[in-house]
Amino acid sequence: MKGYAGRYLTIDLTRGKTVIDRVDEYMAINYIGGYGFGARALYDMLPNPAQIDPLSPENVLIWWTGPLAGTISTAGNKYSVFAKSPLTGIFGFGISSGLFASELKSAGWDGIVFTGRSEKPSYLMIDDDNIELRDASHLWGRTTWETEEMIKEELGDESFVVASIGPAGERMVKLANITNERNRQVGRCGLGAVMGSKNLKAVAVRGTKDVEVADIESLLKFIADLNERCQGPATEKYRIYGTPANVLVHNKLGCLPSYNFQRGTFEYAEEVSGEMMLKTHVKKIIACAGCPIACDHVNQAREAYAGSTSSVDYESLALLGPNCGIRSLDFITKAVEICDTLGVDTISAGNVVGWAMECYEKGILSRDETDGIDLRFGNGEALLDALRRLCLREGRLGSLLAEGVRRASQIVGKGSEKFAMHCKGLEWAAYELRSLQTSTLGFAVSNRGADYLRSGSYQVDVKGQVDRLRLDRSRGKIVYDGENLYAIIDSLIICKFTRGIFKSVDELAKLYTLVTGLSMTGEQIIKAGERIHNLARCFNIKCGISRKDDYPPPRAFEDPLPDDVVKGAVIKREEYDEALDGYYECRGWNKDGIPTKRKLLELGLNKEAEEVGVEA
Amino acid sequence: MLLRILLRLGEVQVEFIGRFQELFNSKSMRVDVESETSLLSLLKKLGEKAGFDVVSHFIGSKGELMEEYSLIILNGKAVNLGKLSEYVVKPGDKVVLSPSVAGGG
Repeated sequence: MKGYAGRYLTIDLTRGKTVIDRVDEYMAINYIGGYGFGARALYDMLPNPAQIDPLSPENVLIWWTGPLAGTISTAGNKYSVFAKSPLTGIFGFGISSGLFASELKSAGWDGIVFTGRSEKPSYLMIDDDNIELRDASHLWGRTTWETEEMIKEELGDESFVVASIGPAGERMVKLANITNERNRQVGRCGLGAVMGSKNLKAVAVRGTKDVEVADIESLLKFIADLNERCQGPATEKYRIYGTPANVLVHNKLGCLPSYNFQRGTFEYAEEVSGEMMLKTHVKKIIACAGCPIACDHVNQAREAYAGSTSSVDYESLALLGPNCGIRSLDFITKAVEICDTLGVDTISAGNVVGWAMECYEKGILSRDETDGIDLRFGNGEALLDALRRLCLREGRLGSLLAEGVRRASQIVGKGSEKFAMHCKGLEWAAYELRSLQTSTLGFAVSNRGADYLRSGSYQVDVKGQVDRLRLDRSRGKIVYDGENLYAIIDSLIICKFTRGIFKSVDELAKLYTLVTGLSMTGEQIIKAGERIHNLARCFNIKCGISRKDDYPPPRAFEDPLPDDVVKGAVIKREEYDEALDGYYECRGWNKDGIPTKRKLLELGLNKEAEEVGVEA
Repeated sequence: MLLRILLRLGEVQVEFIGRFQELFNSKSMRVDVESETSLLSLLKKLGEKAGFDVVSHFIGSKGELMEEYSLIILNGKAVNLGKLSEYVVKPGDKVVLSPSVAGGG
């Protein structure tokens, strides 16, 4: 088979041993790559996940590319990382872009599996077949940007691509991420903390091999067509303003979270809009390898923070901006830079700081407990100070926020759990819950926790195809279809910004076949998506997940939105239950959200049927 | 004013986001409408006023819905582009023309 390198590395960090294993056709056809490979490996390598401390040497850290990485395929140069998450205690998963995936594939590897724990700080160097675990003591304590530069200098070649953790990962901050090429992150689920727990500071890779594809002539023709479509209307929004274009439209729809999700609009939305950002702060627009869209808008802050730069997308902007009551693009740009360099996820960070601000304003957190910081909504300096403390686990406030919003609210108590905006421990992203209710169902049932990237179910809400302020049983099917499709997109792994350019799922299958030479139909590839989703759910079932965990936070049911445009919007519990029932029915799971043996056997998940499946 | 009352005309406020601000070179515009008109008619009228085909930003030349490209909000509600002729617009209503929501890389 082509496209795949056909092999992956397993590095035992405790013993310093390396083993090479094969990727076979069975794996390729049934699990595709990325998400699918990660789900398969995590399920197999952690047979009793409930017993595993995510920050112990017994956890695994798994990196996979997809079959398209390193080829000419449109926007297919992504990689994914998996572990049991220290933030959520369940299936942990993140995806990043840039050059790392193509470089790893060009070095001749589909993926890397880390086990154990290195005795001292180390980094892995992959130079084609030369694999070396090197001392990283001198890098410990360095930011992600410094680490990248120092490794390149040490290895004497700028063409090495580096993915690293910052001080937050070293300190096992539960929100810690992994950064490659300065501005690209495996952001969610705290996988940087797992890397830190293994004393693994970075992975540096350089590859010089060609990645072969099965049918180059047909692929070239197809890619030329796809690239042309990428210049069309479906992706225009990403090219011009990037995702911050969402700010104003979300504000008009009442689905822009502000003040820790107390509201769905922000009175200063114009000041932090994509339109304003393009006029005043965007320094350059860049693209990932092989991407004709170029969505990444890199900002440069002004005034007090002149010189600070960061890549600001909608999620980072909305959570660190309106959700914390911040109306200045300078503060937002600086806040993202702090998160990126010290190494935490901007979404989770903006969410947990917003929660702390609400606690402070309600008198639940005293000024002593915030280490003297006047943590009011809208206080930009307080935001930056809180973020630094969070990243470094510094002081009472930093130690608290470093645990993520679920744990922090459990520690603080006093009713703050009710406005801790998360699901399954993963902080809610910047889509308001009560004014986008199909989206909320999609977030809440996701395998990763409150996840905006696994079903795209917000689309029916914002396209006016459903009543977004209500729920009914039919929404389950919308989420189900979206999840199966997105499981494939995340396994191939292609950028979701290209989803509008594919005319049908048959075209995804065609792309897979042209690259790999493995015959695949649209129906088969969607079935693989369903298999992958169920496999990850089975891992979560073993971690103790069931229906009780598939609900949004209490605020969604108890606090009606005050904003004019969606005044009074709230989720009705009986409607949510009905929609959840509809979702489980489509999935072939029982009323408690456990996959049935019948469904698992239908998907070829025989071992999982035996271990996890229930009778209907 | 008297003529407007006799003809039962009134204004609809149309706001523009993203590229629509550039296309109209403005953040908003007021359009006179009769007491009730369809959203499709409003877009056509807006096109006549602005001098370009506004409808084509929402419905393609082959009748395809441009949902990945653009969206309309009518009084805070997202509009189904497949039913433009069914939505009724009245004086005092607020319409927003925007690029579609982007996200989920």
